[in-house]
Amino acid sequence: MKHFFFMVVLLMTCLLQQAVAQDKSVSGRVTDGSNGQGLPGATVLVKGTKIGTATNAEGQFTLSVPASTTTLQFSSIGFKTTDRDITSSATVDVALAVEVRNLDEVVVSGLATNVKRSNLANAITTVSAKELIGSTRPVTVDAALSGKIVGANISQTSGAPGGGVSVQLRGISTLTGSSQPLYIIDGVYAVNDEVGNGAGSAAFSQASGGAGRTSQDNAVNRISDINPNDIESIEVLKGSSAAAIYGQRASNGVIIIRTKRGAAGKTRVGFTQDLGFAKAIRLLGKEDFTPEKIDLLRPLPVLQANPTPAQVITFNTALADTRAARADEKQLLAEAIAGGRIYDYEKEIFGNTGFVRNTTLNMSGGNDLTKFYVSGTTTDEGGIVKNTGFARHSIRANVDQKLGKRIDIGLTSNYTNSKNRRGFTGNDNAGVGLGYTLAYVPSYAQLRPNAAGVFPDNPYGGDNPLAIVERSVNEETTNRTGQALTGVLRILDREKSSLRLNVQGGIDYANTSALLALPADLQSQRGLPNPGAVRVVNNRSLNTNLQAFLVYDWTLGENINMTSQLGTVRLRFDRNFAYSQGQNLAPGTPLNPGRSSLVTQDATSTTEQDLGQVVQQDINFRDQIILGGSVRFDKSSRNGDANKYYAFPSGRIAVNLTKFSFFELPSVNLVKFRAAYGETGAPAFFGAIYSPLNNVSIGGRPGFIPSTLVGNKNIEPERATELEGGLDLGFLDNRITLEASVYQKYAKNLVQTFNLAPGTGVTSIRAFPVGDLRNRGLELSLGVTPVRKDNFSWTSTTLYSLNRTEVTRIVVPSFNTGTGFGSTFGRNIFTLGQSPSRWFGSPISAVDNPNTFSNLTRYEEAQPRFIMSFINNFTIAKSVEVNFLVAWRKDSYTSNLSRLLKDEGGTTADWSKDDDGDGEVNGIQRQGGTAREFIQNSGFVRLREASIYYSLPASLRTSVFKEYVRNIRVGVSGNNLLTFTKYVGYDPEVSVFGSTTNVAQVDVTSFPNTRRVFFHLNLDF
Amino acid sequence: MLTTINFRSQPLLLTGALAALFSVTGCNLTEIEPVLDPNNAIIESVLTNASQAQINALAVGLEASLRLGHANNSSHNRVLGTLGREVTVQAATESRWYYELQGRRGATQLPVIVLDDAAFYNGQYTDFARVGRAARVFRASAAGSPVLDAAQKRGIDGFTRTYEALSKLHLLNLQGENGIRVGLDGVTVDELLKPGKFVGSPEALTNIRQQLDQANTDLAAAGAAFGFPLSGGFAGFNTPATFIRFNRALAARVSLYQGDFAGTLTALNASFYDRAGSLTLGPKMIFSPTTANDVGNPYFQASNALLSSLVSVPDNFVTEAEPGDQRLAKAPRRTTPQVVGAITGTYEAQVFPSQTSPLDIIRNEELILIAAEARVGTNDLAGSLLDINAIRTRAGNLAVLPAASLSGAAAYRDEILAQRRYSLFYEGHYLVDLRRLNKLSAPPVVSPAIGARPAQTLAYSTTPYKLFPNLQRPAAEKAWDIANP
Repeated sequence: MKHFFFMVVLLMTCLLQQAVAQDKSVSGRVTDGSNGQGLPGATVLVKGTKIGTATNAEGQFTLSVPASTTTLQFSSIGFKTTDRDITSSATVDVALAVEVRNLDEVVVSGLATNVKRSNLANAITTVSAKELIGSTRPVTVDAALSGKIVGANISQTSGAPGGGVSVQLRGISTLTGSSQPLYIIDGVYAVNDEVGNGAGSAAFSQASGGAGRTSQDNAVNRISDINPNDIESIEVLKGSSAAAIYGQRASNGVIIIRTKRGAAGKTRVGFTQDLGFAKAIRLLGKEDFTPEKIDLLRPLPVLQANPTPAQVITFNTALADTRAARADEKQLLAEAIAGGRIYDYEKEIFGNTGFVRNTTLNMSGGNDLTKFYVSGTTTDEGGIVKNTGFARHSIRANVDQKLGKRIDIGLTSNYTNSKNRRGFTGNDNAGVGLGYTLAYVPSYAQLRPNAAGVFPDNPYGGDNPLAIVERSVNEETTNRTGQALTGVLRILDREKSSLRLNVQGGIDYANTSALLALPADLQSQRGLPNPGAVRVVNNRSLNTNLQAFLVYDWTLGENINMTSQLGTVRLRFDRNFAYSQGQNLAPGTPLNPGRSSLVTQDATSTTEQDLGQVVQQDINFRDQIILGGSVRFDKSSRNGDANKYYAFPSGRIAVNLTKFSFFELPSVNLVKFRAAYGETGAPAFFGAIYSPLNNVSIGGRPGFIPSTLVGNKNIEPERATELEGGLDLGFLDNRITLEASVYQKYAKNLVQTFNLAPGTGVTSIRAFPVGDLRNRGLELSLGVTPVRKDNFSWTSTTLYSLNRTEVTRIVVPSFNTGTGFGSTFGRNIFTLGQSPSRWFGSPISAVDNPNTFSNLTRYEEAQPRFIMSFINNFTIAKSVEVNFLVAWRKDSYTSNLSRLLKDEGGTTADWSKDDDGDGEVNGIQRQGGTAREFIQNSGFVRLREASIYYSLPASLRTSVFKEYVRNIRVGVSGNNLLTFTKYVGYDPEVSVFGSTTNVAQVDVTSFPNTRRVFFHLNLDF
Repeated sequence: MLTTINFRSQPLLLTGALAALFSVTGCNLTEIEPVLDPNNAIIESVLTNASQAQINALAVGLEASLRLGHANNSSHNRVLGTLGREVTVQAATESRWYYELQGRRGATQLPVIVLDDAAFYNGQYTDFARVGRAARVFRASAAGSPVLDAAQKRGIDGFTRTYEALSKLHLLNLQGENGIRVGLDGVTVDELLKPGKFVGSPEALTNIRQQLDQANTDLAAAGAAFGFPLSGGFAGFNTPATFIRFNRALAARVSLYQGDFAGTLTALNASFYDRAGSLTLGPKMIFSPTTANDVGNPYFQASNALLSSLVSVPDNFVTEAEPGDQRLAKAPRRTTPQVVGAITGTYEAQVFPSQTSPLDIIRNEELILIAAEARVGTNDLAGSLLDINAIRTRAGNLAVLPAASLSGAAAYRDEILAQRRYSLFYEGHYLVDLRRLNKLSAPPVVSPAIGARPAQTLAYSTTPYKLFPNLQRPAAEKAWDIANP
């Protein structure tokens, strides 16, 4: 909805200086050209000056301007900037036309300053609220960004309710720690940890051997707590050249989220209701059994040549056993067929429909001094697996207050409560992983509970998956609050110069408590030495940040505008992760660790402190040549020397030919060349400097043992350097725009564990600058408005990006990287001249592969050849709006074990077929495959979003509701509606390890991704 | 008007603003506090000036470290038991246990040519190497500690060198002819960057034996008591004088592997070898799963349980036993066989009755078998037969084997190997025995029938299966040597 396009009132007011001589008053109304509704928060400026104001909630404005003023300029994000002559009029009404890319929108370029898009020297992507969720409702904010940012590789790594999304900007920047970008929400460094709860640990699915948190816990990242409806816009600083000002936390890029704020005027109330449902995009299917297939799955033993008498006896016994097993199975099959009890267990478990509802109520308004935006949202998503789901409830209050003429204060306050229940899926070594166990369950198995509700044992796997769905517990509740306070003090306010102090502080506190439980009488637990496991988890994260900037705007002569700034930033991140776990549970409930004989507990805390000092200078020569430079000096307690400063410089230039007087091509309205260079860093992960002694005990006495890791007291931050160049073009009144960028980004002194000879008892130095890698890429963004008529408009955006990564320097032995399961299934190697996301695997041959690591065979690259998306928007008769987004990921490769499991279990849909006609059925033949079988093309074309909305005509609306309701809109939309892929798992985007630093993903029957359909109702009062 | 600011006051104003800026950013503009490890003690805290409590904790750590390679997901006896065809790990969700490790690619007839050098089953390599690391750090800490006297330091030298040798012996058992890395004396990061080279199996055994001998010398000069306590697993072996008997037992095992039979017998004489003594006599690893940071015996499995990962025993272990062998109690028949991957698990491994059952490091039963084999090597066949019959009667409850039934040294060795199979079942020995006695090259018959005992064969040993004599050298070791030639 157009009126969701609020401009950034607070930040703009910093620039809108009061002029000295004000002797003419102009007023009017700014409307959305596509539907005629008032456009709140639009910027009205006396052209060529900083004199201006913002429209109120109705789109109305009043402005005092110098008598000499001839032209007013009207702008708003998502609309074409329009000039109007006011020499002969004191009122002016303007209808702004929708535009794909607005060159006059304001983009945050520094920590305390903004710049117009047309003056940018970097390719910074801005996603408006409308682009984000105007079409449909993806699970989380990061999922909603998918396909909308050129140069970003965004995958939904889990279909579990609440999501799990990996965002990778411009290739690989780090090998350790998080690869996810830095999220800044209203100036607060947001908690975005993907913290496991232990679902993959030894006491639960055993996916990992670890006892604590593991990488296979199917964790949610905390961005899922953010309510997408509160977001005004998102800016994405993809590379170091744009993000240099963020220094040593910005190597993975920065995502800046701004939430909605109030606009002066009548109080507006908005109400949105979405109702929808989710279903698995696809199921893998099954093949039923025949007596012949039972025989094939149970081959008869073979007697050796020249057997010993004992071997003959063994053989005869084994032969009898196998025959008996075959007969038993055949009888079970016959009974199941006769009784009509052939089931599709996959469908029973993953084939359900999850209902989704989403309700938002928001209110905004205020006057010249006080403005507010308050909202409340409640979201409830049922999972496609019974007893799974996600719920989020959040409230927000954003308040802006002016204190006199010189002080502005802004308060952002947010509370979220989110709950998710995810069940057990993905990799597993205990029999509880649903997909894993299902792969081995034949359709004639009888797993349904008896009349008393008791589930039978599953003879084909570690546990009965129906019992796991019903009786296992994996649920998390997060309570989170974000608070931010900004203050602007205008110290000096003159016509040609202004000085202001910009202070900002914020906290983000998240507390997640989880309960995991496998009751002691489950099949998979009964046989264990200590049956039954329950874990209570408590993870706390607190981020605090404080920054202060002095910003000095001044002019040099008539033509040069200068902005100088100086600032300091202090960050502190505290984490406290604890759990208490009980095994060997007493019978019954409650599921509490105290009711056990084997209690284990862990409490891990980390503290990080950063301090940065920034200077930045921007020079603007008549909007023709824009120069800028900055240096940030950073230090961090995560570095070996906590009090050593590291400098991260940047410099940029943009030349806008269209602003020069010689440029006289009326159909070309923008030709801008730009180039930027910048450096960012990433301190080594927490703990990199320590050589710990791990706790052990024997005979009741406590002790310790040196870890297999040793710390590096001299570790320095990783450094990314990026050179970016680009060309921005605009034609035909910006109906055609092209933004083209190329970049070369080096990640230098990559911090990685330095693998030592493990025979020393030390596997690695925890952190070591092992080498460099290079990302090179191309990003194209083409915006076209083919039709712009009163009754029909069509805007279209095409995004294309590619990235290539290569290791350019390595000072340590080549090493395994990524998360692959071994050479049989594919793994990734960090070795000179190769991409760290390329797959290597069996066959192993010193003859065929004399030069590869461990003589492994080289396979394809996990990163896609390119990513493309097509975004289209049609507005018909000002009342019907149609949107769709098609995403295309070309030739990415994933290590997929899903089909292997089903082949081993005999349940693959084409198990008994013989595709190559060699007499051996597919299901057996494929098991002998090399890594080729498992490294699969996970490219896809997907109709990611599609929607149609209809605004009720005003006549109909007023006849029913009079003037109480200002707007009524209904719509229907879909997410992931269609997918075309050759991939044979549940979904080409999923990964059992969540987001991985090197993009290479592994799929072991992960939670299937879902297709979602919604019905929408929006009301404005 | 107060808000009009005089141009000349601007520098003053800037200063004021900067001061405001400083004050809002907290205490100190330019300093941050270094963060100390909030979760663990660090190694530097013990390397110099270790207190008595720290010395004791390091001793506990070293003693406990030997359990690491057992209590993980590639546990020593399971992997070596699989390679030696003593057991089959029927893991419902990890088919590499019964396909790849048995040399077969899936359910096909295709063989696996080379084992993976970075798969989960190689994980114990690091665990056993870590025992050596714990020993070296303990020794260095003791040397730098003011609370120990010279004799106590010698005691720790002998104790740690014995464990270090044990660490290497475990690694060599995993790696076989790949050999192991020696020359790993340092504890600092710089020294870790300069590890010694790999040496072949014979040189490795020489190195291990030398280290045991040096430990023996140290222990002899260590006074009456150790300067640290040992757990109940070392009852009877917890003073320098009695610990020497454990050290010599290990030396006997190593000498036997070396083929130095006279040396073996010499070492046995100084050990706790006793043909008439308790077969279970010897130092042990003890377990207590309900104690924090302790673990349970990883080889315990509930009997007749429906397990996600059942350790079963191939049928031929039972059918090839001499009738009435009471050691078959270690592999009882299941009430219901468990089928995974078309393998029927009829018998299951039941070597340990509970998760608190201790695990022997070396025990008298093995020493008697070592003696029997060493005596064959020194042509004392009569003495060897006494040892063989001690095992047969006491461990197996079998009849005494008359000398007449064994014709020549080879028959003695075959009989001893068969006795080792049943006495030391599922303890990680059989693969090593088959390898050193060169029995893996012509499977499946390992030794012919003698008396009432059927011929011994290896399950899963002919096409499409393949026997591997050892694990692959870990990828990280290969990579290190490529980068540091």
